[in-house]
Amino acid sequence: MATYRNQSSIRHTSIINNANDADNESDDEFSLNSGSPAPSDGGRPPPLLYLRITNAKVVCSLLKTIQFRDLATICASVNGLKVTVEDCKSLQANVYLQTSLFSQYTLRDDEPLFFKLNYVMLLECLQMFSDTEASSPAVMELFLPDDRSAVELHLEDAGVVTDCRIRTIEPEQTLDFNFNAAALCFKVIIRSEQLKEVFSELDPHSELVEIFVSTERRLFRMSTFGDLGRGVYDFPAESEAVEMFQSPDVSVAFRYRHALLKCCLKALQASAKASIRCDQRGFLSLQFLVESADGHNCFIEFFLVPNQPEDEDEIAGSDDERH
Amino acid sequence: MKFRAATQDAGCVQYLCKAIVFVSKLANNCVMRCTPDCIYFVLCGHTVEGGVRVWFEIKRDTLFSDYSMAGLDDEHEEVQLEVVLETMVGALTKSFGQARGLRLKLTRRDAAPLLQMELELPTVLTDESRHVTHNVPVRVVPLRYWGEFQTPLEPEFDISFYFPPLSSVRNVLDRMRNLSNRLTIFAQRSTRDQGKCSMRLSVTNSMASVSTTFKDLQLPRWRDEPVDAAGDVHNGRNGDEGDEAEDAEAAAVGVDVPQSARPVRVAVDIRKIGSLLSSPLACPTRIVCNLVRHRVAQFFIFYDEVQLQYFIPALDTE
Repeated sequence: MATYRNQSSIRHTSIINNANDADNESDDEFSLNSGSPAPSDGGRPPPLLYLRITNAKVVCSLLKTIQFRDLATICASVNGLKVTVEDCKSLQANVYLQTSLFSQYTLRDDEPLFFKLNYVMLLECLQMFSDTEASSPAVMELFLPDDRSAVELHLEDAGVVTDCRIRTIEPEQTLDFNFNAAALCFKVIIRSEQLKEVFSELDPHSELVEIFVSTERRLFRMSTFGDLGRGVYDFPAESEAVEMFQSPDVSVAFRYRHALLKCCLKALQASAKASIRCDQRGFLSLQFLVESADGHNCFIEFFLVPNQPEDEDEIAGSDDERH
Repeated sequence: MKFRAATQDAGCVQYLCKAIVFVSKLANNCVMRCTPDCIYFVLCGHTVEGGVRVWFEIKRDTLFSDYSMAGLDDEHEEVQLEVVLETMVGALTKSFGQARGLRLKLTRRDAAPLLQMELELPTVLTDESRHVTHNVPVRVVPLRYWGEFQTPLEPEFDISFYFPPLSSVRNVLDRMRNLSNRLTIFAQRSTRDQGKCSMRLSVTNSMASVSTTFKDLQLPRWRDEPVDAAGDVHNGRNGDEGDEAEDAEAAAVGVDVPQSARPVRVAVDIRKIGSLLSSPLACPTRIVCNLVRHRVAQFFIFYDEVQLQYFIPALDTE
């Protein structure tokens, strides 16, 4: 099993804010007959980040799975890119794109780079292909120039060339959940094919979803509490769908907001298997393994904070219900 | 004045109905011009809505087996009717899928002119047909306004080229529409190859700017064009400063950027192009795009049976 990466040291660097460049619409300066900009343009210092990928459509479909908010923070390090989208300090999604995915990856300085931009714009630009079939390979190049004012994208697909420039925003430090992988409460690996059915069937009227893992009966249970009743979905450790079951010392139950869990659905649907880990505080780490045709596997990771209701007793019921 | 057209071919009926539905989405006011050779649907949109103008031409032979008309008088061999396309569409949409035949006829009831549309539809149990007649009120366009609806001939443009295939452009335009409504079209002759040109579509908003470039687009040849020494093709306009002699001289000497190779820029509302390109009719065989710098983008769309001319005024005129 490959090792998953945790939130490692995040250095916050203060970054130049969006520069106001005037829209250049003058006829004479524009010329279609000049070639596309090279990584190190005459006169400009080399970009802080340059990467090139030959199947941009694959990357694009990966990045679309975590588009539940408008803004994303991107961290570029020697290991690759990490794209982070957060919601209200309760949910964080990360897509890891390793260096091996890119045909070229150049980080000018060895320090990790952070920049933030409008994620919706980025995805619109990435999807600017000439036709919607997945068969034709699209080449994408990304530059982050020295002044960090904007990210420049260059896409080429079947002879059609698209150039995009997306302004960056001053990045804020992304959340560090202090997830302690060494002291887990429980860990379960379930095949996505079965898990995604459960996820999409969860009662939409239930505000909370409870995850209950039983040590005695060795099962993983998801429950919903709707107006019309309770929904209970069990994955016993022996079932075919469960590839690994590391049970907690005592049975535990934690609740999470359904709206947050729903954000994981797209990533789950794109994945082959899901690893669900929980630490002693109830912080959930969902890791989805996405297999790609050319053997480059990618990981999408979600961190969820458990719900802290004021009144636990009325919903908790008696312990008898659970056993 | 009289007008009568009919077709007994189910395919033709459906094509005509689809065409009318398509055209009705482009603009609201419509004048139907019936000439001895063709039927034109001329739409002039209000300036408030963007002011697009559309000429949709259907040759009588392609769709109608029976066609006869008599114009206003000997000099003006045409019938021009102002019609609300929505009512025509309303009459057709429910049943054209099964229609076996269609008959159009200009009639009159109580001194009000009507366009009678008679559809021949199958019945459920027998082989006989039933006929459903819709009477669409129309207004006859007075002669003094006829000039507005004449098809413009040989427009003067700054650049003319074949638009790239729809499959390449459609997705790009759909994505760009999410960024901004204002689309800028740049077109420029290629300096390396005079017979080709490039087009760039570009949108900008506060967060991002995107441009897509299509290279190696062919240039169509217009009839009766003066061609100068360097093989450059001109048609009337040559930009604001240049004049033909100057251009020819510059080109002969080998100056780098001849007048006619300056980029032409037009800014239009992207939704107008979008509605044009998403047509229920089959893929067009050719699309010719003519641009007049800062003024108008004109599209000639050629389908197998029909032909469409579409003027989109620029968003700002300088």
